[in-house]
Amino acid sequence: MKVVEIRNLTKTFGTFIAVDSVNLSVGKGERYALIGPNGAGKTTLLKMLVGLLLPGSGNAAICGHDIVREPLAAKKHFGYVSDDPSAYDYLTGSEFLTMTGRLRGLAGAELDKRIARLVPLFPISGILRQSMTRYSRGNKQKIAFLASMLAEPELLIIDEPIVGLDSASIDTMGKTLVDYAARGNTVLFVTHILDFAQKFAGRVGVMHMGRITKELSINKSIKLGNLL
Amino acid sequence: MYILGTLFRADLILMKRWFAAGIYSRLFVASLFFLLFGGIAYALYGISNIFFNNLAAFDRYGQMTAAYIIHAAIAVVLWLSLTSSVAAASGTVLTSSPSLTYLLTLPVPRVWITTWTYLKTISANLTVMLFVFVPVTLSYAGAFDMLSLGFLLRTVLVLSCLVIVSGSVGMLVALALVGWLRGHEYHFSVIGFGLFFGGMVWILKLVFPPALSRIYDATSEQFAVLFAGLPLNNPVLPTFWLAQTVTSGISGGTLIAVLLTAAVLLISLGVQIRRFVPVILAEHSRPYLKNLPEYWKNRLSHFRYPLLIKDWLSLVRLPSETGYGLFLISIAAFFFLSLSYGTKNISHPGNWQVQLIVFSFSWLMFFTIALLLRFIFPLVSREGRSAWYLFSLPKPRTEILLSKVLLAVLSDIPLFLLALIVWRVLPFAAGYRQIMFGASIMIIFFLSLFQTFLGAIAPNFSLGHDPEKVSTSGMGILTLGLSVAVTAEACMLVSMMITGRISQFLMTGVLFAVGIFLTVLLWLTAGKAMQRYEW
Repeated sequence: MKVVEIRNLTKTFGTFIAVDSVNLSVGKGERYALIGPNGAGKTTLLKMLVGLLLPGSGNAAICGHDIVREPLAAKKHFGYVSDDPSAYDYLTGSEFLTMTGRLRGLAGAELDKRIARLVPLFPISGILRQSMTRYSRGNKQKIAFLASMLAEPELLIIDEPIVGLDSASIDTMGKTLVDYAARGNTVLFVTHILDFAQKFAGRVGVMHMGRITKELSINKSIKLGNLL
Repeated sequence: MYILGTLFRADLILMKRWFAAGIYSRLFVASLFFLLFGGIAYALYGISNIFFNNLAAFDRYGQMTAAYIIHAAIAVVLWLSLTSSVAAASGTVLTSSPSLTYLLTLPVPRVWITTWTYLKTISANLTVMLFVFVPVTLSYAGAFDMLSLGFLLRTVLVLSCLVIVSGSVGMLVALALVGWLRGHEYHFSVIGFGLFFGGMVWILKLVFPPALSRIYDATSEQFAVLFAGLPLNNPVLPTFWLAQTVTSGISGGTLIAVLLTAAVLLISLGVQIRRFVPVILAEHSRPYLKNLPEYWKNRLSHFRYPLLIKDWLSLVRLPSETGYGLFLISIAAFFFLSLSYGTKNISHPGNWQVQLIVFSFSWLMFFTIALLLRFIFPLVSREGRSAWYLFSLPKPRTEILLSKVLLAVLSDIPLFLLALIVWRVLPFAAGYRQIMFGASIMIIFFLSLFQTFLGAIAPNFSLGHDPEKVSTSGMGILTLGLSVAVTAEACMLVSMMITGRISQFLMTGVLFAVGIFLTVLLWLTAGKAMQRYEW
């Protein structure tokens, strides 16, 4: 069973076809990157997968659960970070992580242990008790990323993982994704930064005008810069 | 001057674009707004009419008492306007509006930025005050045959003086205080609330001294002595000159008041031009890194409904929201305390008790609707840019709605307390207190549920950062309309119950049945709508 299975998924806004009969399968342990120009439909595709947009036609399943018929079962299997990682400015980073854990069924010592394990990934312990109003975009991105991994879901879906991050954090983010997938999990992300996809993705799908026009496995001989 | 004109033209274009985005729906919303304000103005006019016509029966003494009430209203409006100006001006300086922030990056001289901001504030305040104050003075003029163009112009002149003075002083106070405010918003909110409420009570005691209650039964000689001794009847008070301008015409006092207003305006504008932009820049440049106590994190760890805590924090952690809520509640408390002072020990003509109960009930509901529309209706929309987080979680959307419902019920508590104050302190016949308290609790509860569900039917996530705009959107106006319709029905039933046309049991039963019916209907509709959200 594939972790992500998409069949003829389509989404239109009025007469504009944002996603056009997309088929995609991502297996366990894979790191799959969707790349493509602005307006290609990458974010729309992810939003349908995570339940923020209703598909026009076609179907998609996450870990065997149809995203329309069994949305809650599907959502239990992934963590998601939006391309705009704004999340409740009035909470502190620590409160946000705790709330996410609670909403994903974690509690008590186990929740504290997981937060304590994740936080050192990025140098953010000094700001965790501050209101997120003052967080930079990069720090919001880090907190949202940590929150998405808190329940250790089988699938991470991340829209633009490195926008706003400094170079050290980009490297940490990439290595964390690689480690996460190495533990038997799956990572699906959208990026404009081809170097990042080249370095940290295992397979790449190129989206153009709502369709996945090309798919390829990354190896040293392939230069993604030539694809777009 | 050209820059000022450009800035106002930009505001005009913004307004035109707002209409152009959906001409019919926007015209509908605008018409509803005018209808609403018109309705409030008409209600104020009608209520004041009853009051002043009652006083008109006492001839010259009645007119003098009515003039005193106008003076009292001016004093009250001045205090309210002054305190709200300080709060609003502090908010403007402390929070950065995108348009103002953008303007600060352009080569626009600060004199024009300051003048533009100031003029907009003054004209908005003047418009609101006109709707509130003019109906009262119009009913006064009608009751005592004084209505003329001159009277109207004098009213506008007095109101302009009040708004300009309060707006000017409010900004000066805000500019002086803002350095200490940053980082201590909550302490200052509490102190400000205490000062505001203390000031209100002091003004009430000043306006309605014990001597005023004796005035209704006094002989002519006693009246003259008692009236002259009333604290507001002091010719050196600036509010006395303003009140005289409305009730008696232009005098030397009017000229002094206008000159004083002009002086305050010039001084304030001078200071604002020098200080407004630098203070804003200084405040926005100041680092604001403060660790918050872990109290709420610990509650989030253990409490059964973490979403409820999140929603609660979304209200109490934003000083502007807390401040506005406290302000509205205290205005309501002030209003009813004034009413209690004003109606204590006065002679009660025929249907006075009926009028007083319906009047108090409708105003209690007015404040309830205002608070709910501002805080409860936008609850779902407030998810705003963070909606991605909530709606991608493995949580049923009905559970998300439940947290909003719980918060709405929790937010009813201050309104229940307000209802308790109303039905305890006002001079109602003892037999009505309990039933009216019960009816008020029931309607407040149902209204909060209606508003929560209506807010979930068509939320406006793009306006989530600005709950005020959410509550004045098309759906907000529709919600307002439904709330007003329910309240009107409740007022009608209350009136029928007091006049003995229906029993208390029937009134309660009908209110309950309508409440339950609408709750179930809106709950089902909201639940269904939530499944279709796209973000």
